[in-house]
Amino acid sequence: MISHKTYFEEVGIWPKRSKGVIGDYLFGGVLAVLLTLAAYAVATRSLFTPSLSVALVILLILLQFLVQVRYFLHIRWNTAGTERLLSLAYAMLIVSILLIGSLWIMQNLSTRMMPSPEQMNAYMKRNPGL
Amino acid sequence: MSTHHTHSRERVHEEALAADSRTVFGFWLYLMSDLVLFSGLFATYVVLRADPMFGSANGPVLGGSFVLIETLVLLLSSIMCGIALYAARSANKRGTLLALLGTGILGGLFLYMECTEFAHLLATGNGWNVSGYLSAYFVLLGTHALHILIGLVWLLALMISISIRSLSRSSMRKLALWSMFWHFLDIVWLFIFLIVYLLPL
Repeated sequence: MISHKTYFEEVGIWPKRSKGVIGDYLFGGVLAVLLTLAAYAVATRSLFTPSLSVALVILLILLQFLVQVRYFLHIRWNTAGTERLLSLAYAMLIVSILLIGSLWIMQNLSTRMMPSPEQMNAYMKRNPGL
Repeated sequence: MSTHHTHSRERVHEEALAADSRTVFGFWLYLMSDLVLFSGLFATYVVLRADPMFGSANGPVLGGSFVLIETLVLLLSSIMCGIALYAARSANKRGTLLALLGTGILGGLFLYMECTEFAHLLATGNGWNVSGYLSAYFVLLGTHALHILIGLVWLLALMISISIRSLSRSSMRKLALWSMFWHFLDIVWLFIFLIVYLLPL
């Protein structure tokens, strides 16, 4: 016979003594919905300059990422689940190396690459004195 | 004799719980490796979109509000999954099954919407063979859709297991693992929403 009340805490997916976990899901859920709507509003309505909008949308989605990790996956700084936090941090490190590295390399390659004939034509039309 | 007996039963119980928490952590590590897999697909997508040689003039965005609804549907499904866990905590079999059914219906709706978008793209001549960009799009979104499909099949098996064996220890363990998988897929979708849909707008 197992104790249902403490099972999820014992296996480590919920924080210890978590009476208010339902509150976590609801509070995190409302927060996530609001952040989604906010990000969508910033992206679709031209409220700000383009570069500010892009920065704001990225910020809002990253914020929602943190909200979901905290309130749905219950990963916190000070719980017994430090291994999960550490492995998440490590995975995020690999992810950022992969993403930033790919963009960096391809950007570099792109600037060193000879343009296609069409691009060359367009470039020469834009700069007639060349 | 009697105290010795309860003592050893407690030991067995504790060992079983420790084994379950190792399983949960192992599954978590699998999810992290899945995250790395997705990041490779994201990197391919971002690189191919940025390059005019591979890019397609007409992007795959169906209409912003369609994707917004899709996102909210999956988010609600994720919240519903949390409610199912909460019902299981109170050993409420009926409530757990109902909440899981809700989670599954929302997940199914999401998958249906994702497939609608694929069908729309194929019908308008934007198949995966048109450009490198569209290939990357279909592989990224298709991998996510495949995960959702596997999650739904797994959910069905889980619901059958709960209805036959009630909320036994093995059902609780499967529920814990499945909930992690489902929340994880919502988080991956969050980044698809950002990179594929929001940033081009």
